Amino acid sequence: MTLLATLKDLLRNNFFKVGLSIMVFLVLLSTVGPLVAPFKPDMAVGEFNLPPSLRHILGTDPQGRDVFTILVYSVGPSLMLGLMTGSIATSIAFTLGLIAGFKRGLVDDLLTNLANILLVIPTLPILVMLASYTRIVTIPMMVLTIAVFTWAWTFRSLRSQVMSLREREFVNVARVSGQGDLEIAFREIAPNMLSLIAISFINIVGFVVAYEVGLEIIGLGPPNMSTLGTMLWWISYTGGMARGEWWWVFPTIGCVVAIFLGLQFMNMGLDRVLNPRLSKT
Amino acid sequence: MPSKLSLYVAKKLAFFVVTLFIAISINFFIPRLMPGDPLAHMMGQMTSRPGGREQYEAFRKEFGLDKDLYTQYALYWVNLLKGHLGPAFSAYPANVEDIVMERLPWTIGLLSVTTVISWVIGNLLGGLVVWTGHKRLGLSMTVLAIVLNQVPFYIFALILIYLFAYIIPIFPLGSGYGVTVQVSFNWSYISSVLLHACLPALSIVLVSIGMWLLGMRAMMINIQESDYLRFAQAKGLKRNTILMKYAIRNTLLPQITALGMSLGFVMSGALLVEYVFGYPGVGMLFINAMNYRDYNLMQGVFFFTIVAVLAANLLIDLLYPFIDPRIRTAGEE
Repeated sequence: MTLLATLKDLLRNNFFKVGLSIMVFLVLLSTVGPLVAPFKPDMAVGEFNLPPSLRHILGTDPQGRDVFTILVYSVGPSLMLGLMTGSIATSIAFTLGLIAGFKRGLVDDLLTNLANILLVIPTLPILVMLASYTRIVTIPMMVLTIAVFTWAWTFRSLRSQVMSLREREFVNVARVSGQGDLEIAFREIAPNMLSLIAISFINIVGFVVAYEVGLEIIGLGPPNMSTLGTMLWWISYTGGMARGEWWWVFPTIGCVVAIFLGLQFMNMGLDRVLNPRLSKT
Repeated sequence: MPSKLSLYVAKKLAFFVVTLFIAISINFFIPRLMPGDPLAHMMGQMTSRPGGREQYEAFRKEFGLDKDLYTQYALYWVNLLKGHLGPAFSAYPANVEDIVMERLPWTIGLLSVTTVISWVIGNLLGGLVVWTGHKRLGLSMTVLAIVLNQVPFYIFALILIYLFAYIIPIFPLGSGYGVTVQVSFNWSYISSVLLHACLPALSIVLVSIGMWLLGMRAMMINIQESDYLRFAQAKGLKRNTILMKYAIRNTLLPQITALGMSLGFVMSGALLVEYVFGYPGVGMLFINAMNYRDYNLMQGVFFFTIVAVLAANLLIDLLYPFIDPRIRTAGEE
């Protein structure tokens, strides 16, 4: 199947369409939002804890800041953190998966066991300890530590795909025609894994966003940066739920949930188009 | 020549030991790789109190922090094996192990019950969705599972709290049991505990059901194409016989492996659920310790959490041969 045909199939798939629309909506919210937002996110612009009105369509927070403005400024950083961490984690998983599946033997044993160990050890406590020891959580540090601890799931599926691909006829042909290991790995095997890599990438982005929001919700986010997680932390810190400020609670939770749903629906669509057996039921 | 079973058991035990070793080493090295004096970090405000300086020196000696890194590492293991984790600086002079042990039953209780419930229901639904072949029901269940599956526990917990503790206040918040209830073995205590556990449990169960349902569904679809299932159908076996004797037995095995693998992940999620609900388990303890910068307590919680997760994992691995005859008998894989 050519790339163009796949894309056409994807755009006909309802799951993918729903997922893509959600993600496009979030991206628009985070790019166009700050341009049209009437206020600045870090400025007190009205009374405290105002309910929604024409001036403040999502009301104001306990510091008198406009919730809608904060929200549109927060979605972007959350998405960016997720994409950055997801790319790094996927790259680690892909590189190691390629090496393990292709080399086999001792290297494979070592990497597979390392992945299994990382899977069994609860990641969040480690991240919390790292973050609280360093006191100031910088963005590169957060991205790197989460990536280092989350590549393992993806590694497993990518590795088994490499294992099955390397037994195929075209790999044998390449080997007979004198291509080296590296050439086979990157020119013959890697291009055949694009669909699995796409699915893994989307999966892992959802996964790391969950960790990032989780760290931020207990107050371990990067300082001086508003994300959806820090908004949730602020809500629980100031008791926004207890005061029943749904205009603050629901849109924030809604945006977080939208990220997960958007990614997951896109993935279901990809899965069905690229792996047609699953679409039977 | 060792039998296949003993080889399997040895492998799993080795994995247990190595993982425990690595996790505990991570636990040891994290504070020591960070800039600054770990003990000063740990003791926090305590050093500035009267007598704090002397105490600091005493702890420094007791934990061997005046020695080089390797001696410290060895000493750390000795203390750990003796079950001596040192004081919790935020609740001084209480010991870390005592505090954690008090909280651990809450977490283990919550997690074991919710994990079992969601695993059973999720697999049942996932299997039925494919096996009954009901298109509309199958699709709606799958979509629901997708929606539930990717949302982290704590986000779901926040939604439940807002709906059922604040807007419609039918469930209590903030503790393991009511403040007026006496801790004793009677109905009012037990019912209070159950009532307080409802929302935390629900947020874990609903999300996990989605995960198991999707996994089982994919597995069922895969084996429907398999030769042995086709052959069983061709032989004219009854559908129920095929389901019970072929389909379920083959699909449950990977799901049991996945159960062991998921425990660490579930534990991470439960930590935040406890925090969100104020549930008195080790997750809440961990985050409180973090807020007080009580690093010794944090490390203690991590240690016990790791041991619990790994032990549960090992238990599943050791039960596996009873379910999968291929490991008990000869042959590869």
